[in-house]
Amino acid sequence: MGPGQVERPVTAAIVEDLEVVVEGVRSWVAADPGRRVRVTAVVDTIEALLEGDGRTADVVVLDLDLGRDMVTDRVPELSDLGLRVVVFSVHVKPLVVQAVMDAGACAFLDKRTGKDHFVDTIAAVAKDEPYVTPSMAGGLLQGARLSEREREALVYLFQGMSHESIARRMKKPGGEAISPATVKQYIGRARAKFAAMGRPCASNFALLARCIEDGLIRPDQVDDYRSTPR
Amino acid sequence: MSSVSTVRDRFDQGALGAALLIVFAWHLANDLPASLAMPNRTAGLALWLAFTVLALISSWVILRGGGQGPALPVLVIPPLLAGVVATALLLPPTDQHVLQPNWWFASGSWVALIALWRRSLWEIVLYGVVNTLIGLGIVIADDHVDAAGLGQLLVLGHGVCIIPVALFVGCRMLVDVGRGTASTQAAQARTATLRLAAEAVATARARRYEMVQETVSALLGEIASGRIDLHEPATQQRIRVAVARLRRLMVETDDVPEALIHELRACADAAERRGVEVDLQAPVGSIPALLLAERHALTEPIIRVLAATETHARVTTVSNAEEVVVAVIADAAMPPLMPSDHGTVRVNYDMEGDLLWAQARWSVPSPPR
Repeated sequence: MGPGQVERPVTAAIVEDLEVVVEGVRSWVAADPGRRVRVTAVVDTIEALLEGDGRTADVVVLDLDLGRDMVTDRVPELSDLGLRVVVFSVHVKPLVVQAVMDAGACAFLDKRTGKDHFVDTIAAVAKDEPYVTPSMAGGLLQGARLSEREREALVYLFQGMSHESIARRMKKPGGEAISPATVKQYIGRARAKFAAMGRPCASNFALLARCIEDGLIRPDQVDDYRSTPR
Repeated sequence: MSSVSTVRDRFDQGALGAALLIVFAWHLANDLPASLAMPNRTAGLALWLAFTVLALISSWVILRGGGQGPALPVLVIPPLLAGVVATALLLPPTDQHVLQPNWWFASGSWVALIALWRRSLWEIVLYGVVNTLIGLGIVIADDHVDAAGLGQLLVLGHGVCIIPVALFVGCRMLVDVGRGTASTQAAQARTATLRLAAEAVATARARRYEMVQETVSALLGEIASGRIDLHEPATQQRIRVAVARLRRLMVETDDVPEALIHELRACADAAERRGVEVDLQAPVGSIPALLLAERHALTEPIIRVLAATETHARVTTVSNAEEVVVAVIADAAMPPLMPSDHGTVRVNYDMEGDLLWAQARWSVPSPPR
């Protein structure tokens, strides 16, 4: 969103075949005081998403279990179409998280703890910000080449801490706690490294551009990360 | 039994090596000068080379583990026997016994021994007999069929035949002795292993009894005697810890790939049974092999926090080759603090609002200086 533009709610399409989950998502969205997200489409197949209004939504929220099928292998296809995909699943094993993030998903939300992060994640992903949920932290810890501080911040995030709690526990050399903004920087940089080493796709490019714009990484570092085969 | 076959093979290879050394050393030191001393030097050298080829073929096949079937004897034995005649034909008349300068007659038996190394004893004996009969034919053809000629033939034939046969039999006996020794050793090793396993099981059982004694018996005794109030939060905490430890005790000898996660699951299960929602995350990274005492030290803080948890807890494990970090965040009151019971595990507790965080970090022990 550029300067001077009126900030509109982020539009989200939900790909989910369980009505009860959709109701839950709607209630989380409705409970957000800033009304930052608007659900514009709810479909139960990827084909219905691509053929309907959901195709133009800012963010696609994708459940990995649709009917009897796991749709993990469709994530690259969606991200190649330029869609910002947020995976919303109970399959939170770090290897699964790492795989869908590698495939181009912008974020991963654990269905069991989604309530705490859902709206924040959708809003951040719509702006191509490097937002990292606790379950994503597990995947990032497995995949990216991290500095000691980035790893420490991700471990605390994976354990379930807020940025404020992480900041309280991470000390500067003088023993003083670091700020939550610095924690956000460490985590954002780790996310950018992961994107730089992942599949070259629209979502990763947009995230990297945003990270470079925000000064999290330098353009020359992108090539450095990508030169390491995964 | 693989160690038994290894020992047997080693004995076999040793004897074979000795036989090969004899064949080639003798062929170089005795047969080559004898061939070059023949009147037709070129023919003598050709005979020597033909013998060399037969010896090399036999050695190559046997050293590669072959020679069990009839192919090698069929290929090598007839030329070996023919070579005795060919050598006799090339030798000039002599005052000595006709077989004395016939180097092929003596050396051929050694190559036959190699070629028949994996065949039966009677084939070696048969070779010796046929070789001696050919020698007899040569003696008859040379018109030396007198007592002295036949006597020398018997002495020569006996020497030529008996030494390779003796080596063959000796080798088989050696291999059998080796096999017997190895079998005995393997049986002793099996017995020792079984004894050690039995001792380990007995020690583990004794330790489990001791732990049950420490954890549960005292508690049950106090409950039975009415010395403690079951409605007291501290008593409930003690009971919950005891239940979780018992569940951990039940699974800690299970043969599973990730024992630490298996034990954490048992601890989480104990909490879930009283309605706590436990989010036990799959581990990040590979967990290195840990001692039981180290796993205890890692899971003990989790047990204490889960026992104090009101409604929900998140348990995570992050590890690499150098460290394992197990943590829990829960809505729990701070439990009574206890020092870590293992030197390689550091434990931290921290309360923030109504959330309790506990972390147990195992680090690989630094090598002694």
